[in-house]
Amino acid sequence: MMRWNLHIALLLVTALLLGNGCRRTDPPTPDPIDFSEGVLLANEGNFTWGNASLSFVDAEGTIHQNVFETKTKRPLGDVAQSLYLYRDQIYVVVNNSGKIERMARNLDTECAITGLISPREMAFISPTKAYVTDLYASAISIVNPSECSLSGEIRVNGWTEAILSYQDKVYAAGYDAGVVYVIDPGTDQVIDSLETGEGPVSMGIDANGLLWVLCSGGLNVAPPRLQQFDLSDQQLLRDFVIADSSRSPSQLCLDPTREFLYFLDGNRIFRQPITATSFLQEVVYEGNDELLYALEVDPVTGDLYVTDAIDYVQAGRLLRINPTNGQVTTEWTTGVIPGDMLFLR
Amino acid sequence: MRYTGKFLLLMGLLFASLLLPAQTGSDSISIVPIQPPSIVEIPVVPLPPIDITENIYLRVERGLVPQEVRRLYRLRTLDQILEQSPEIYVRNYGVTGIAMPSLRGTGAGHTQVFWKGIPVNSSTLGVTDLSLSPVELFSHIQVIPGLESMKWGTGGLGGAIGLGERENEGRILRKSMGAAVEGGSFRNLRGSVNFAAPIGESGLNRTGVYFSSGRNDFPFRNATLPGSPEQRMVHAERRQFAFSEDLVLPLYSSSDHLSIHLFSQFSDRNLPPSLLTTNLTETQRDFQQRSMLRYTRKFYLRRTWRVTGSAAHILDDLHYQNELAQIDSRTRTQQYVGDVELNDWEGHRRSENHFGLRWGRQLVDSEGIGGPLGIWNGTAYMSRKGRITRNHGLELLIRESFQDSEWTAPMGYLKWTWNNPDRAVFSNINTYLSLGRNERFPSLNDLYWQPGGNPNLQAESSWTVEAGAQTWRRNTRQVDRRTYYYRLGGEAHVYASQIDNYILWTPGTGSFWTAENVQQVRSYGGEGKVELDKSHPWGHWRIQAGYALSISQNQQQLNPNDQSIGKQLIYTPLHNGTARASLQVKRFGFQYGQQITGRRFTTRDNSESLPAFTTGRVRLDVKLLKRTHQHLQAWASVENIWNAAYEHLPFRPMPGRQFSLGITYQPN
Repeated sequence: MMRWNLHIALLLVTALLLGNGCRRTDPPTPDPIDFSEGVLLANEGNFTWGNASLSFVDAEGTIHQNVFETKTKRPLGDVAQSLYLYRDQIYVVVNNSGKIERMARNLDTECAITGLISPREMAFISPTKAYVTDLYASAISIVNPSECSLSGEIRVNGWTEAILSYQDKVYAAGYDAGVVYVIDPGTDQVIDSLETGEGPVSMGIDANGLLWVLCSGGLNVAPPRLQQFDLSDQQLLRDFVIADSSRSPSQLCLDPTREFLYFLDGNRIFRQPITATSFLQEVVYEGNDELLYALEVDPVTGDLYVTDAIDYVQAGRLLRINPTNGQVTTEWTTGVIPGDMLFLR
Repeated sequence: MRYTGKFLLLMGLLFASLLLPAQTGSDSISIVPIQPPSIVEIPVVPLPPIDITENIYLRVERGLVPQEVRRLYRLRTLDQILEQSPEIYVRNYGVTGIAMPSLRGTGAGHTQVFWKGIPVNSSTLGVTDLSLSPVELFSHIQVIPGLESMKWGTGGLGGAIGLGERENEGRILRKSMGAAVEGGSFRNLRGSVNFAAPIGESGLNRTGVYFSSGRNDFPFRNATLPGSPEQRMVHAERRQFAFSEDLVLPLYSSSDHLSIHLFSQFSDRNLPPSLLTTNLTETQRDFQQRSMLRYTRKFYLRRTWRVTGSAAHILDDLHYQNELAQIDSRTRTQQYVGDVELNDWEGHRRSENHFGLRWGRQLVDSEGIGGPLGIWNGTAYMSRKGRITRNHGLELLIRESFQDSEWTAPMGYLKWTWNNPDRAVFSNINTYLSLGRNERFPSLNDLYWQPGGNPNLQAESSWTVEAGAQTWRRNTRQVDRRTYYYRLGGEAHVYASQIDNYILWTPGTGSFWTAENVQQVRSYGGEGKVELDKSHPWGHWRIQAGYALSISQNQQQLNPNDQSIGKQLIYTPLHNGTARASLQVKRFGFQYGQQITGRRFTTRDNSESLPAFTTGRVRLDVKLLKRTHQHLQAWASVENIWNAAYEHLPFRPMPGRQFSLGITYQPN
């Protein structure tokens, strides 16, 4: 009996000590990816989970996951918000990490602009100046892309979201304030504002140089609106009420001719000609139990690229849709919460 | 209300069965597989040296945290002690974040926490933060997996955690007082002062004060930065004060007691950012106050009965601030609870009966749910346990609950027990098989959070079947007129459960998420423990090991593209194991423990996961002074001795190796 006890005791003690001896093997090195042409996709990941990632659909239509982490051996950050290509450099705004990663076209990281509070979107003025909207800062940050530094801020009222540079002005959507701020990039001052509906979230300039603003309506505060402004005299030209206040349209895009507007509303993609005098409610694509999250239009082919976040807590999908017949031509599995897209050519 | 008639009928039938005379066969074999531990203990510092003949792991009531473990971790909090149990997984939101339990692969809200029999889970969040409960201030800690949690209350689809005695406070034999203090790495300091005294023959007064503080600026490798540089954790300071009082006053005789119970704690903590964020402005302050007035009386009516009436007030005040996000959120919840229990006092005979009725009013003041809100809730139950033959027993429990106007269907379980009289191989073999159903009402946040709360949510419901066996063998020998022994024991339990109407927050049609009864979860698995211990003339040693397998899978697709069907629930480890070895030689005690937590998936399609981790801890005790009632004991311990890098949540590193020194002193 004594020996039997001893054997059991030795077995358990050995098991205890071996518990610390596991080793991990390195994953195999992937084949190099050609980033010269394709679609770069920012998978936002979950807020505070740190699972943001980049996927890349190459020219052959093959998707590569976690391309940033594979390249850099480190995670991208928390909530990959938006992507930009400026002077052959790629910028990734990482919202909850308060930073902007700058990379070469082959995704070699070059530097990061840090110290931002909750950056959302970016507009480039020059190689040494860009503006960054922010969720919490009540300011638009001024950054120097070439030096990867934070150089100043423009105070505004609350959350700012979409931002674009057109001609000699910059237009930033003030979500909380319900305005579009007009900024003079020469003086970094807000020189005017356009009053919009509740919660302006995205903007675009059409073929006639008119500004379109999509207002989400806030959190059930007001009906969503699609508004058109003449930037020369800042007049509101058109004001379409899209749906009831429980809906939340987003992701305003323009086709390559800038003659048609596209946006998401629920699980549908709507199309609206810029010349229409009423809201046509033309549905280009209606998802089947999908959770459509982000929309982009290929600036060359005009194909629609829409993402499906499924339930936000698993790998999502990217769909390529023919805008003429609404058919899904290709679909890919992505990372978690696929969001903004960048077309590389 | 459609179930009320059925419930009353069932209650009536059960009550009628009580009127039948109980059989009076041989009383030599208990119908209860495991006898509850003695309620006589002296939970004051310093506790007596470890005696392995007392309160052994396997011979106590199932799930009861042994006194030995409570003593070793007296100055720690509940999460730190429960994570050493294989059947429970504690998820820490970082070093000073909240710690939530998960039993049998269910969510944190499916573990109900009771303080002296009263449910204390937050009515808004539906969970309890285990990191706010100092072990020192609870004389009784019990983990009750599965169906038997319904003895305490409903909603514990995974199980329940019981803090403090539910029915009485035991006895204290002599007046004593003591103090303990422990200091360690990262400026952690913990201490307690206790006082206990008997009042008359059956009353007592027990007072405890606890404090802890820590800077928690531990070093770690930051793998999110190039080169993985070593950094120190920032914004992780924490301090806590807590107080408890148990005053049990005998009234007219030793059969009547009036007792007052208080527990109060305040904690103030900074919440460190994840490694990928930079927010250094999150803080949380928690104030909890639990008060109870209880009357207990024993009386004789064909058998001895005990009636207990309690009135309790539970207050939770949570103040969360996030300066960066401009959030200043305060949630204040209060519960007024009345509870009456009646049970017979015939534990050694053939039958045992319990009746209980609890009702309460919950008042919530939270901006998140749109201001003040009040709801009524209540539960009633009755159970009968009896022996049908010499070796076979049956137990039936029926319970029904309501929340505002919503009633559950009748809940409860039927349990069959079998006790093997053959003592040839093992001293005893106890087996059981149970079948039952349980329900959990949605939390107030699920119902009324703005936006996204869903007032039309139904209660989650589960069907569970579980079985288990427990056995041990004990041999003794005499050497020089002293008795030495060895003991080998083990227990194993298996279960299968299906949860319907599982509540999940899902993306809604608008810009916010909503709570829906959209998931169906099937859980199955098992838990096992073995223990071997032996005494020698020079001391004694003991080895314990436990393992739990928790397979918990979603069975329902949200939409055709949902890949989560058949996949393990997120943050639910498949494997959990613990092992502990202890050695006592004269004045010196040595313990080594190892804990293994399996991989945890972080996405519902199981495409991303956190790696498994294992941590070890070691502790050395020495008794510097031991007289009849005077103790001085010192200890040194190392937590995470192998300096393992691990996380419960992504990019929230937990501390590496930590040293601490402590001392306890009992002057009388």
